[in-house]
Amino acid sequence: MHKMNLEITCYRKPGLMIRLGLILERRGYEVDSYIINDLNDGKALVELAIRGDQSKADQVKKQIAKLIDIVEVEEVGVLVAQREFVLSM
Amino acid sequence: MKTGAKVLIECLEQLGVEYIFGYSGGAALPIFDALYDSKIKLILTRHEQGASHMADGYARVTGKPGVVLVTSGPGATNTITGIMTAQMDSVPMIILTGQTITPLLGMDAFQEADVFGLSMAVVKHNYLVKNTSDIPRVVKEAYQVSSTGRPGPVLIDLPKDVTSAAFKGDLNSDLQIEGYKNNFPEVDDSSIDSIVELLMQSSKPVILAGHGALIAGAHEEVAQLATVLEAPVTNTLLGKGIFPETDHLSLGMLGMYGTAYANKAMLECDLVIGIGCRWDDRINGNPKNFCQQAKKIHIDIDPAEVGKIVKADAFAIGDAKIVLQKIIEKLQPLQHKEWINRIQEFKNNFPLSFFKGDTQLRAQQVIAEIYEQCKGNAIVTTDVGQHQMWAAQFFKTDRPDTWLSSGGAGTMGFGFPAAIGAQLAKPNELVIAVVGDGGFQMTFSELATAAIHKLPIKILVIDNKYLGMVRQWQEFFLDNRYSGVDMVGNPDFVKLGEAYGIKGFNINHPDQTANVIQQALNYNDGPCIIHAEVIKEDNVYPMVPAGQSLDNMILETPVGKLAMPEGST
Repeated sequence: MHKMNLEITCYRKPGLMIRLGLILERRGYEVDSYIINDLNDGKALVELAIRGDQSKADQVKKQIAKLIDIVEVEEVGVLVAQREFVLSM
Repeated sequence: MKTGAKVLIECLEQLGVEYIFGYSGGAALPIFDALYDSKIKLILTRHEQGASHMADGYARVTGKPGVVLVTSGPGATNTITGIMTAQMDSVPMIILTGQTITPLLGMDAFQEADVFGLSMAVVKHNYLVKNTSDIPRVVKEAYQVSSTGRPGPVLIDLPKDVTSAAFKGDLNSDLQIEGYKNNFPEVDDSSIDSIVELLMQSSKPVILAGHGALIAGAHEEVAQLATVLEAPVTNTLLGKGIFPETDHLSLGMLGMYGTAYANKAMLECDLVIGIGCRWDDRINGNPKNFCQQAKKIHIDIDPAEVGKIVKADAFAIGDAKIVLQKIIEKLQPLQHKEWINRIQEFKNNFPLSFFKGDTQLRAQQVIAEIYEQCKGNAIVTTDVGQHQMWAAQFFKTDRPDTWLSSGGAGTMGFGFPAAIGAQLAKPNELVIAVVGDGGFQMTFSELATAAIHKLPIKILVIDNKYLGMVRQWQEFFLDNRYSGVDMVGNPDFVKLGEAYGIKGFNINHPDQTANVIQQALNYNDGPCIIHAEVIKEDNVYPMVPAGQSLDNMILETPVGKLAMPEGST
């Protein structure tokens, strides 16, 4: 299974989580962790740890980026939440 | 005191909405009441599915969002098929749904359905409005989102207490779609250079134009590109009309039921430039070996389409009109005389044809006749099935935005209501709905709608008493085991029309065709049904079985059973 960590900058509008969920579900991705935190400028940051089919990885990122309330999608190595967990150990 | 509903209607008026296609109900009462005083014309349909397809047809010919208004619960769920149809073909639409009052949301109230949740998978975006003051912003956002970029349907769920409450707030509040606005970067000049380089290097180019080119209004640029490159042009089903199919450079439609000569061109070309097409499985057969011998260029406004099905050797993300203008500026005129001659050879050796000269009426003949008589000067809508493919083959489309067909979704029942929307949008144009006996029976209750408004639509019912396309597959791949395709019990379609006060004509024999069609074309007091009783079993050729590459075209009746295709049906 291909694992992927995404940092998604977005606006916190109704249905955000479902819209993301639909895209993932449709392309065979499972959510391992979903954390959302408000940023200073009215936006929010979703940190998403997912796993699924490698061949659909590109489409997952692009379809999320297309959503109206999403500003940016970035694939990262380690999520902030994962880093903080390691530091606290 | 202005209600939220009144403000909603006023916003739609300001946005230039002329028609609302809808069906009333309790939860939408405040909105229907506000509509009573409005200059927007309500087209009351006989089923919400009909309303959604009418709005779709209206949008396809005008480029403006079609507006649907339905009530909560089953009213809203009856539009889901139509919304999905619009989404698959990138058609702008706004769907307003009544909803139960906000305190009862999630309480299984009367005619309550989670429409926001249900529709999410089939819309470009959707809203559940909980504050009356949000209405102007949401309506304007919906209009912009549905009609810009890659168009699509946007649904607004409106609880009854929200629309009946007094409006307090700013009619001109700012839109809040910052996440959407940054989806449209400037066209990257280096991508234009890569494309031009590939074009200059090719000796056998083909232009493949799809719906995106029509949405961008790029028919002039496509024609210019064809001339400057000296390249043939093929179109997808939804791209019909982007380039005149009567032009000597046109290859007509390619793909599964496309012309043999278009497919032959695709098999020999060394470059395909895809403009606003999405390399769908209907045209590519098997994406792994589609045009393996050729370089591929992809021009699309939706970045998610690039690289989705085929790997592009060069691509540009942007509006097709703008991208093509930039390409043409940098292109030197080229000549490909040998390639054009080869194309002509294909056309001479593999023309579209159908069997003539027996006493049985055939769909292709009727369609070819109506095409001849109106000189192709019509807006044509189709339903889904064999008749749809024959219409695509034999009714040549020369003008943009005159061919309306459910491509991505293949929704039966689309053809006739879409024609109603198209005729309302273009009252002075001839509108022909080519439908099958199967699909017509799904939405024919809209005969009432067409009759009330005296719309002079010619409804050509191709009646073979079968679900022909499925039957064809069962003949080729399933040993003639006809299961679930027998349209026994069809009504007498002319009598059905009479029951609605509509004129009807019958064609039972080839010799009657020309005369009947002439009469029908001259009848303009209202809609008319042309009932063509065609041969029960006939097949669409060529056919490329799903999942197979284009060189596996079936050009005539196969001998023996073929293996069930692996691709998507």
